[in-house]
Amino acid sequence: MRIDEPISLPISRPVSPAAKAAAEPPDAIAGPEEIEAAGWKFDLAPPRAMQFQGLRVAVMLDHPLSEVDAAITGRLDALASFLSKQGARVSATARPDYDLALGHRLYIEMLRATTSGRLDDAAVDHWRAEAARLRADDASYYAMMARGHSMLHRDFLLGNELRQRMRRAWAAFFKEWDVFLCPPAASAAQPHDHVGERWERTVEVNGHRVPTTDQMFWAGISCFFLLPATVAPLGFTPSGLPVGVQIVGPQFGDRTTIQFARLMERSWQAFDPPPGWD
Amino acid sequence: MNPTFLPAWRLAELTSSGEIGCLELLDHYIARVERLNGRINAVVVRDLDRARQRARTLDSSGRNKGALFGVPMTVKESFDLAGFPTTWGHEDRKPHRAETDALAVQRLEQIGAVVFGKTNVPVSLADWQSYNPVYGSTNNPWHHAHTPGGSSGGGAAACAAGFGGLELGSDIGGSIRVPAHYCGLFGHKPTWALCPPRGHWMVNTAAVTDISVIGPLARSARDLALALDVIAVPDPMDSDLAISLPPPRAKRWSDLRVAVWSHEPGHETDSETVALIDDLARHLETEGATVSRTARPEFDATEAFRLYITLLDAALSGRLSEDVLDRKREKKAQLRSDDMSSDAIFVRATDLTHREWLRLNERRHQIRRIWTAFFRQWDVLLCPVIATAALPHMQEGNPWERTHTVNGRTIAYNDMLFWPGITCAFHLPASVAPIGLSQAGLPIGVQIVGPMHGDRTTIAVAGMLEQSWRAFVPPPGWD
Repeated sequence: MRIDEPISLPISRPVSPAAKAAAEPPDAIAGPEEIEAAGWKFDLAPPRAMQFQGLRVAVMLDHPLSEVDAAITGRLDALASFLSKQGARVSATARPDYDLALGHRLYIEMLRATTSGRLDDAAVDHWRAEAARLRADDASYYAMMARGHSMLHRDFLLGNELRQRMRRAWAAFFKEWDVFLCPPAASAAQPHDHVGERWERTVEVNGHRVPTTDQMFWAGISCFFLLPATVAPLGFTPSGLPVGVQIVGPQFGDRTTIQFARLMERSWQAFDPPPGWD
Repeated sequence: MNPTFLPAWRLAELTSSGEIGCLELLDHYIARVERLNGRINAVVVRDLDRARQRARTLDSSGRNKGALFGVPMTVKESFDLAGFPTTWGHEDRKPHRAETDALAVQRLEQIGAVVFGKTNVPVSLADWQSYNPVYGSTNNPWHHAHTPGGSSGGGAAACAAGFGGLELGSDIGGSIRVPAHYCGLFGHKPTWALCPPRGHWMVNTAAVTDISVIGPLARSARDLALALDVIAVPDPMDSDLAISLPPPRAKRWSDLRVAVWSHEPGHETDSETVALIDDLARHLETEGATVSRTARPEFDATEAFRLYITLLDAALSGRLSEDVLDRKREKKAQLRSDDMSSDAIFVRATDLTHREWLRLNERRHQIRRIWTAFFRQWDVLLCPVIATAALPHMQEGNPWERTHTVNGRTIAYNDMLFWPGITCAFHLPASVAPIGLSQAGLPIGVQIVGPMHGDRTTIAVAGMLEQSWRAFVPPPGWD
């Protein structure tokens, strides 16, 4: 893989009904495309463990940059207790050694630089003017987006250097820990909301409204650093909507995160069809 | 036996069999450097105590007889060597001391090499000549009035002058290939991202640079393969994946499909170079190879070249100081919109948005696919390394202010990036082999280009040329 290529955006992958089957998609779709295929061998490491016993699990329920609904944090906390009882070594405080807030800011700015290829000249001029109008330290999503859309390639390279250092911090973290559990999003499925622009919308979390874009924190914490992440069903909200957990692993540790999901499927919660779809 | 100009693989045979001791061989080359380096100023950092200690250890252990067992060698100044500065030719870097050896240096030593020094470079590695305020200027051992090339110029001069068995260089615009060609050596610019560059830096960086690679220069193609085997392994700090390069596509000329691109209208190439490559094409036909003089990848060569210039400027833009940026901005404001010279394209790339880079990168990847299609039809492409044989020293002003005369025509210095650029912009591997001498007695090489990860194929073809066309010849007067 080429580490100074543009950020890999979230890739849509087939979601199979059972995590057991989810062990297969990477086998079928992983691997270099023809141009790179002559030299690179994609030989993914086997799962680090086949059971919870002895597994080293770091858990992160929440972060000041993205408040998470209690329906998720409660279930995630319960899962952490369950894992402890199963013999896993669980930490609620272990974190990779870099500034998570800076990582998030780089993620949004470089994500919006990476998606800037879709914009026309007038749009880029608009965002450049917006970026100039706003303070350089404005950490709102809107300001980060404006900077990203009009980012110079040189600044992308400087950001990429910081990102690569953070990748190394993650690599060091996964020498101590096998998986990192965190929310995949701030809440369960949000009600339809097609009004206005994405960055203007809010979503209800713990009874109050927060910007929908805050929860990109949970998307970026893994994908910006090119790490694999498997999602497994975690439980349901009081109103009956599903919530999941994000299982993050070391680079090329895809089989480890998928195996963790299989263990959860077996002993925590399996796929449950939505009511009325028999 | 005088080992001076033997290839590295042969030196390793002599030390492994005990015909010559590792320390004895090291001292032979150190004595040559001490006696003769003053003529060309190629080896500019000497780490003799550590090297001698290492050679003694190899002599006494009798184990670890790797492929480069006891082979004394030097590396380009731009690699970290523990305890010595890595300056890239910048005076303000003189107080620096590297803490550890570069990863590739460690790996070469793991198979027995004895690294005893570093070799000269241009400032910031940004020239095909090697002079700077820290170490001075390096001469070509074939002709002292000429440069050995750059940016791995000190290394090429040292290897050609018999100052060691092997050299490690780097390339983003011909910096391995041009010095190999100027000094009559073999060289290999690997597929991009094949050989991790950790420790080839001015300051510690975690991200790799687009187009930039590290690779070997040697007196035999076989040495290139030995060095590549050990450096073409992913950095465990970045990837757990494995690389397994395919074997050479062919080992006999009769099995090889060779496209020959000896000149390109609009990109002046010296007639002696063109004639030598055309002679070589005729020779390969008599050897039984399938040869085409008209097969070309299906893109516009000038477009590909301009794309390279912009991507090169973008790749290096993260390193520029505000002073340099301001000067580029001033020049950009004065550019005529129809100025398509390579320097105008460099200047125009100043303050490139990432959005624009994405568009250019997309075009680059489209052209990579065209190259891939080309290499389904052809195993290798032979083309010039650069417009002429070794340049006479020309150290006035900045590179972009200089001109060079080719076939009686004046061209801009940076227009010579054409032959190096149209391959490396697309991340392809390219080996260089010496194919003859100019009338002035300067070496001329050929660039052997292959598909992505076809490194073993281009090196194998360099080896076939070594057998059937021309091997390394020492420069006169260096015995």
